Order: sequence, then structure tokens, then C-alpha cells
Amino acid sequence: MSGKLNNRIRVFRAEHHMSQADLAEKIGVTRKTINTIEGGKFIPSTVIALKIAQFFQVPVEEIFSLAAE
Amino acid sequence: MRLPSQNIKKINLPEFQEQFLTRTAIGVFIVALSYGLGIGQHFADAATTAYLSTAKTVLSVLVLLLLLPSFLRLLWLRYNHRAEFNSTESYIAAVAKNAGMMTFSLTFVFLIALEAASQSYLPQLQLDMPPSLYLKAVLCFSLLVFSLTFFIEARKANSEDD
Repeated sequence: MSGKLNNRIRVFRAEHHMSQADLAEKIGVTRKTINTIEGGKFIPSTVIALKIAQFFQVPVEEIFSLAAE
Repeated sequence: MRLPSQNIKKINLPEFQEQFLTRTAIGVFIVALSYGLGIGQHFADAATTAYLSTAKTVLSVLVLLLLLPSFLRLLWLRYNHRAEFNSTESYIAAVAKNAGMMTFSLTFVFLIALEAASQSYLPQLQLDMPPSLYLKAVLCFSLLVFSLTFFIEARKANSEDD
């Protein structure tokens, strides 16, 4: 495994018909923060990762995973 | 009629914090320019020095207008929403932290280079620079590094929602 963090936030957002701004508001961060997490430019803290997972009611590993080499 | 407290409740705290950090970075850039003008004053003639002095005053007023309202609002919000303020984190806050680390590293390197130069070729140039000018140069450099690093890193965030 490499250190790169993959995420499926975009997929979950699409399933819930949410924009980045909607999700940001729900978990108490900014739209830019969601945007940069989705794009892999910003690695979120454990707290943000858990908040996102909690919001979508899935285990955190379903949203975030380490990229295979 | 809307009460001020009703307006405050509608504020998105993380967004406000990001706006405040961005404004701070702009303010830091303006202060860096002001220090740069201060350095320029040392080498300019009397007429140009007067212009530079006016420009510095204008920049100082600009910084005050830019930061003071946001700063007062920040204090007010911090006082009333302490718990939320302690728990919020954002990409822009991380960018500001990185810019701070970059500033420390590069300022350190700049100081070492300046120290080496002060023992070798700077005395030969006979610039007759007072110590305050060297301090202004270091401050200008460090503030420029902070603001420019911040702007470059912050631009990585896509401005478009999807």
C-alpha cells in the first residue's frame, strides 16, 4: 500500500444528490475543505473523516482507503 | 427590523474563519509592501521619499480597514461560539499553518545568508545601511514568503462547486 489516500466522497454525494457546499454545511466545514479532500489535495483529520462517514451512515473505510501500489 | 444577533446566528463559522485567514494573508502582503517602501525610502531622493511616505500611510489605512472589522467580529464570535471555534478545521487553516512553517524555514536561511554577506561583500559595497534597514529587509522577506506561499497554496482549491 502507498501513502495516497483515496476517497469516494463524490460518489456518496452523488447518491445523496448533494453539492460540496451542502455536505460542507452538514459536517461543519467549508466547501473548499470538501473540495480539496475530494481532489486528494488535503488529507482530512480523523475527526472530519469520521464526521463524513457518520453523515453518510457508513463505516469510514467505505469512504477512505489507502491506494494499492 | 433585523437585530444584530440574528445576523450573527446566520454566520457560517468555518467560512468566516477562512475569510479571516485570507484577509489576514492579504494584510500581511500589504505590510510587506509597506516595509519594502520603507527600504526604498532609504535609497530614494527627498521628493520620492515623500511619495513613498504617503504610499506607506495609505497602505497602513488599507490594512486597518481590511482587518479591523473582521478582527472585532472574530473576537465577538470567539467569545460567543468558543466550542465551535475550537473544533473547526479547514483546508485554508492548514494552508496558513504550512505557510507559517515555510516562512520560518526560509527566513532562517535568509538570516544565515545575510549574516554571511555582512561579513564578506556587504561592507565592501559601503551602502551605509543602518541596522533598522536590515531588520526591515528581513521582515519584508518573511511577510512576503508567508503571503505568497499562502496565496499559491490556497489557489489549489477549486473555486467551482459541482
